[in-house]
Amino acid sequence: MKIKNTAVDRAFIAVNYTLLTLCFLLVLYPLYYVVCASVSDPVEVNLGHVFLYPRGFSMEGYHKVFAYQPVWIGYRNTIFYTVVGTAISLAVTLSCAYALTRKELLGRGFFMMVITITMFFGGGLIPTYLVVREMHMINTVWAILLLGATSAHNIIVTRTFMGSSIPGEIQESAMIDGATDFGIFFRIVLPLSMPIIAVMTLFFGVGRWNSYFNELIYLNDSKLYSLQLYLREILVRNQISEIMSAEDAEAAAEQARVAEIMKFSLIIVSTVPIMCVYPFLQKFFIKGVMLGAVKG
Amino acid sequence: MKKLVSLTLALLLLLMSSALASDVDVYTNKQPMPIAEEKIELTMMAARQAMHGNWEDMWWFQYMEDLTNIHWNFDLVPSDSYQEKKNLVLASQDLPDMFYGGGISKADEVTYGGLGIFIPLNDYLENSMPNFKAAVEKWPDLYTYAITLDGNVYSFPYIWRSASSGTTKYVINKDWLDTLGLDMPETLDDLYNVLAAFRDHPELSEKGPMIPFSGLNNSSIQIDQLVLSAYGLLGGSAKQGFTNYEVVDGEVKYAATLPQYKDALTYIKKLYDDGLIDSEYFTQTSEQWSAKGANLQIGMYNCAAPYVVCSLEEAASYKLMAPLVAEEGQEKIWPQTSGIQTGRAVITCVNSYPEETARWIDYTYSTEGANLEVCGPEGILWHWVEEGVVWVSEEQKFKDSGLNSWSGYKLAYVSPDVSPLAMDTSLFYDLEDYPPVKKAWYASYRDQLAPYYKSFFPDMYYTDEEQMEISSLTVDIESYVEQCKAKFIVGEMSLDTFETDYMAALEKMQLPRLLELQQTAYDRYLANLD
Repeated sequence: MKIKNTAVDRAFIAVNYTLLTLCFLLVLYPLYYVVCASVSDPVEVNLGHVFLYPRGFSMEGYHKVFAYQPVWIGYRNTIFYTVVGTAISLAVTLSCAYALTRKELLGRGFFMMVITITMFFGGGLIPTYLVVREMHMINTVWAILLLGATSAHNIIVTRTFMGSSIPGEIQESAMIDGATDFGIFFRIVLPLSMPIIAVMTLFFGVGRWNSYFNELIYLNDSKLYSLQLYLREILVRNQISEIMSAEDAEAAAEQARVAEIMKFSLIIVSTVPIMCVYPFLQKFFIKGVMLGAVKG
Repeated sequence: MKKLVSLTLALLLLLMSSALASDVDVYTNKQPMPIAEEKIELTMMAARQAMHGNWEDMWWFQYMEDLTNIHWNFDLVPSDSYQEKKNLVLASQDLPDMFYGGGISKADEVTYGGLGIFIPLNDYLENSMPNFKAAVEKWPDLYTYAITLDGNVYSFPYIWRSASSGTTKYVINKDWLDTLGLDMPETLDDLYNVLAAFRDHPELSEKGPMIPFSGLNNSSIQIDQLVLSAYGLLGGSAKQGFTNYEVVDGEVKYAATLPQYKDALTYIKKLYDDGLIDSEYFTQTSEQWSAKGANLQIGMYNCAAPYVVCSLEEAASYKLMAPLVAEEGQEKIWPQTSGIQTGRAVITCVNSYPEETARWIDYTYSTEGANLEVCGPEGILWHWVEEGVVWVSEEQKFKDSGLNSWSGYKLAYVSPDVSPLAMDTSLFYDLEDYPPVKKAWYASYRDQLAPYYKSFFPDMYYTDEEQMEISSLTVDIESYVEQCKAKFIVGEMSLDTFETDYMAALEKMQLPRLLELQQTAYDRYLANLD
C-alpha cells in the first residue's frame, strides 16, 4: 500500500533534495572546473574566462604531459611505492594488531604503551634522518618503503576491530580443532577482517600515493622520485623577478608557460587512479572507521 | 701553434669588445690545467631547478672533468625545497664536499663559518686562484664585499654587472602613445596625463577592457619604484629587489618615513582614485596579471622584458621608460643592485681537496670560463665569426627539443648556469643574428637607464646578535609599513595621519633601534671598503 505524502513531507523532501543538490554541486564544481581548465587555453583560464565550459579548447596540456618523460618515471615509481609499500604496511599492521588482541601475549600492556607513546612524541626530523643514514637507506627505495610502514593510530583501529568483531570463542574452537597460531591468523582472523583490511589498504594506499616529504628528504636520485615530487617540481615554479636580466626571465617565463599549460592536466593525470579506486572502497571505509571508533 | 691561435683570438676579442675596455686581462684562463694528476672524486650539493636536465649529462660538467681531472658526484635537491634539505644536512653533519650554485645566505656564512663547517677561503683566493685575482683587480669590491666580520671569506662571490641586469624596468605601449599623439612621459604630471588618455580611449585595447597600469602591490611588479625615484628615493621598494633603507648624508634612514615617500604615496593614491591603476592591483595573482599582459590590455607595466609577457612581435609595441622626475630640471636617478652575490659556492670541512676545489671554481672567474659556463661550447648555441660572437638562433637542435628559447635548451642540456663567476657584459648587445626587438631592447637599457644608475643601501654581514635583533624588528616593521601603504592608497587611512599616528606606531615598534643597528653595520661596511 502506498502512503500518500502529506504537504509537509513533500516540502521536506523538496528542501532536502535542493540542499543535497546544492552540496553536490558545491563539491562537484571544483573537480569540473579542473577538467574544463585542463582543456582550455591557459591565458583564458588566468583571465578568469573559464567558468562553465572550456574556452580556447586545446589538448596541448595532455600532449605535453604524455610527452614529458619524468612524469612516467614518477608514475612507475609511485605505483611501485604504493603497491609494495601498502603490502608491507598491511603485513606489519595486521600481524601487530592481531598479536595485541591475544590475551596470552606477554607484556601486552607494555607494547601497547610503547606504541601509544609514538602518537604523542616523535623523534624529530634530524634524529630520524641520522638513523636512516646509519642504516645506509639514504637514496634507496627502502627509505620510502620502510619509513612509516605503520602508524599507531592504524594499529589501534585494527586491533579494536579484531578484538570486538571476532569473538575469542571462534579462535578457541579453532585451537581445539588443532589449528596453530599461524593457522588461526591466516584461516580464521584474516578472512573475518576483510572490512578492516580494505580500510587499511585505502588508508595506506592513498597516503603512499600522495606522500612526497619522505621522498624529498631521503632521495637524491631523480630516477627514484615519485610522481608527487615531479608534480611539485613543475608546479611550484621559480618566481620570475622583474629585476632579472631579460635572458634569465625568458627562461623562467618559459618554465612558467610550460607549468601553466601542464598544471591542470597533470592534476587530472595524477589523481585519476585514486579517484577510480575510491568509490569501490569507500563503503568499507566508512564501515571500518565506525567500527573502530564506536566500539573502541 | 694552437696556443698562439687561441691567444690571438682572445686578444682580438679583447680589442673588439668595447665593454671589456680595461687594461686588466680577465679574458684568458690563467689556471694551469689539469688540476689533478690522478682523478679526484668529490660530492657537491646543489639546487636543481625544474628547467634543469640531469647535471651529470650536461656538457659543462663533462667538459670540466676532461679539463681538470676532477669528477663530481651530484646530490641534487629540487630548488623549492633546497633550504629544508640544506639545513637538515648542515644540522646532521652529513656534509657534501661543496655547496654549489647559491642558496647559502650571509647568515649561514656567519653561523657555519664560525662553527668551522665552512672553511675560510682567503688563502686560496689569494694564492691559488689567478683568474680571481685578475677579476679583483678589475672589480675591487668583489673581494671586499665577501669579507665577513671575522675577516674571513667563506663563500665564492659572483659578479655580473651589466646595463641590463639588477634593475627593474617599466614599459609603456608606444603605439598607443603615437595614436594619441603623445610623447614619452618625462615627469610625473606627463605620466598622469598619458595614463588618463589611455583610460579615456578604451578602444585602443582591442582584446579586452583597457587597463592603464596593472601590476600587483607587495610584489616585484608594483608601481612604487617609478614614483619613488621621481621623488629622489632609491629605497622604499624592497619588494622589487632593492631596499627599504635610504642613506641621507651618511645617515641611515627608513625610506617609508621620509617626506618624499609621503609625496609618492599621495601621487599613487591619485592614480588609484582616478582609475588609472588596475582595480585588481591589490588582489590579483601574477598569473592573472601576466594573462592580461599577454592579452595586450595594459598600457604600462613593469617586467624584465616585454617579450617575456607577450610574443616577440607584439613586444615591439612596448618601449622602455626612462626614469621620471617630479619636477622639470630635477636630477634623474634609478637604482641598480651591485651585481655581486655571495654564497654561490662554499667548501665544507670534510673536503680533502679544498685547494683543488678552489682551483676548479677559479676557471669561471676568467671570462673564457664564464662564457663557456653561461653559453656552452661553440657550435651548439653560438659560433665565432670574424666580426665577433653570433648566436645560431635558428639552430635546429633546440627547436627540435621542444624548448622555445635557447636559454631553455641551455639549462636542459648544456649548463645549469649557477657557478660563481665574474662578467661585466651582457653577451647580447652586438649579436648579428639576434632578433631586432631584443637588440633594441638591450640598446634601450644602455641609453635610457644605465646613465642614471645609482647603487643603494648594501646587503651586509651582521653579527649573530645583530642578525637576531634585526630579523625580529624587521618582521613587524615591514609588515606594518606594507599594510599602511595599501591603506593609504585605497583611502582607508588618511595621509594626514602620516606624521602623527603612522610615525608614532613605527616609533613604538622600535624603528630607531633598528636604524641604530643598521647604522653600526653600515659604518663598519664603509670602513671595510677602504
